[in-house]
Amino acid sequence: MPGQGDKMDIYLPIAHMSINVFFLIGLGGLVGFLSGLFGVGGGFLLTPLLIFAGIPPMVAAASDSNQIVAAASSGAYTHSRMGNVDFKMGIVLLLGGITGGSVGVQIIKMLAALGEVDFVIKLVYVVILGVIGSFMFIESLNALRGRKDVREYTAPSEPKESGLRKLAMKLPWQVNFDKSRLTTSVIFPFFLGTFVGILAAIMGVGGGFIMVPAMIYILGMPTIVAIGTDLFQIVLTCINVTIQQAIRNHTVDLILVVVLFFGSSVGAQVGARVGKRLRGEQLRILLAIIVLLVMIKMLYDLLVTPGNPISLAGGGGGH
Amino acid sequence: MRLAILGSILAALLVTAAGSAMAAAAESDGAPVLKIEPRILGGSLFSRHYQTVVITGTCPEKCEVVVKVISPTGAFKLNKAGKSLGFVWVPSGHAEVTEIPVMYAVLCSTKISSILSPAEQERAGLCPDFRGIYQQAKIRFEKDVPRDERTALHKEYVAGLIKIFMEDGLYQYREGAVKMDSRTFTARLVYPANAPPGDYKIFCYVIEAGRARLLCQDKLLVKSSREVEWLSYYAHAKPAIYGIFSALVAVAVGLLVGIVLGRRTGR
Repeated sequence: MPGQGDKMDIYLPIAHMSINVFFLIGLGGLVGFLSGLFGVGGGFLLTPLLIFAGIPPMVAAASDSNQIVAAASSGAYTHSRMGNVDFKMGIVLLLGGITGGSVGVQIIKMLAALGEVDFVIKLVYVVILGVIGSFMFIESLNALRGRKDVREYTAPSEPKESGLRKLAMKLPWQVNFDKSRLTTSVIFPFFLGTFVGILAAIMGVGGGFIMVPAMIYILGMPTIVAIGTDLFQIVLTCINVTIQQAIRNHTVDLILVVVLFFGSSVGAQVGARVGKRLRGEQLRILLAIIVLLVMIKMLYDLLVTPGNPISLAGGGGGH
Repeated sequence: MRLAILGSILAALLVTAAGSAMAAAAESDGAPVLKIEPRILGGSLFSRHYQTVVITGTCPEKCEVVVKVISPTGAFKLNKAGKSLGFVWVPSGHAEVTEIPVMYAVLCSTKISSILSPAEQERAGLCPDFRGIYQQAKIRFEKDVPRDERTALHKEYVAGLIKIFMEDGLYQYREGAVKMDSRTFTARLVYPANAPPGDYKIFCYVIEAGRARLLCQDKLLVKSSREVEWLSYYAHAKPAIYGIFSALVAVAVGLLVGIVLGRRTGR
């Protein structure tokens, strides 16, 4: 009687690898839990964790974008029913997102041809996670010390006018956004969408961690409308990135996406319930530490002499 | 009439006896009688981490047996890491290695160096360090490489790829994986789930007086699952349909979860 290994694996046809299915569900569950706990998308944690698990970086980023479509669809549906989506603003952001996403996918294709894509994805993660993690850590530490009212950060009733906001008001193509109760030039949200679209393609993230603060503090949108509008544009931007990645780079692994989403949707529910019992500043400092730990691991991989100087370009596949 | 019937029975008995005697003689000579269980490995989306393929056969008495399993070849694009700015590791070279078997297993009944000289190991392609692969694999460098550096770089790239394969369990050298029992041997091949589909060649060598003699060879067929084939086909041959399908599946699953949870939470 032929023997068999005792672990249940699932074969990922695009990543060309076999991985323990419970580990993958657990990974999705962990990121979903953190996402529910901290109220973040989790894409910026999922891609690095997939890379640590051995998934090729290109496949991890592209599949994460597709997974975000599933995760954000659920949230966007709920927010649109509650009337929290500014569709006019969402379409402007989306136009930028589609432009940026298409540019980002093209950048990935070019880097893949040069054999530099894995390094660049890791480097971008180190920079972005380092900046965001440090900012969150300092801000949360200040909040814990009582220097700053944390609630003012998460739900500002009257956001102060920033220099960029004043500049946006002076630019041409001023449009009135009724739902957001503001009038601003479409140029700024378009470029914001473009920047986040590029990040979505390279990092496999939704970009809410940049988009939401920018919409609140720079554009002056109400927090809840910013969140709902962000989810709306994330769904469509990530649909564009998913299709573009599938066409240009063949790196979307649907099996990986479904398994991850199964884990993350359950984890998010548990995380949201646990999160209600913790204070906001405690949660944010915990998230900052997690983000910084992931960044340190990625930086370590770039700095420490590799055990094998030869690696598969694009992380895998071939056979 | 009775004589005719008796004659027929006698003739039939003689033919049967002669056949049995020939088969017994063939077995005693170590003629190829190979049994592979399972002969066809059917892939599926969900599988065990590895499967064991049992290869049994007959061999001469008091000998050692080595079983070699080779998969179809593949092509791999590789990066070579080099230090930049004195502290960060970046890809410093690129090459494509082709005509390299993706899985290569050498299973033996005892330590191979104790039964075969290095020259004989190399001749039969039974080196524990997979030396034969270096000659078989072809390499194409992304940029022009000076002629005097080509051999060393070729070796470095192939060695690196073999190391990756070994870590994935695709390249195996396993002593004691072949059990001997008088005139039969049983080899256990650990087949990892991430090995590629295709026709695998199985070679059985008998080691006598320090020389490896090919005893018999056979094939193991590995099929990929329909789901995997379907997804791979659409992902590469019809990527637009695959991309749209992936996005639609994600939206449908996301909305379904949103609706279900919305009902549960009353939103």
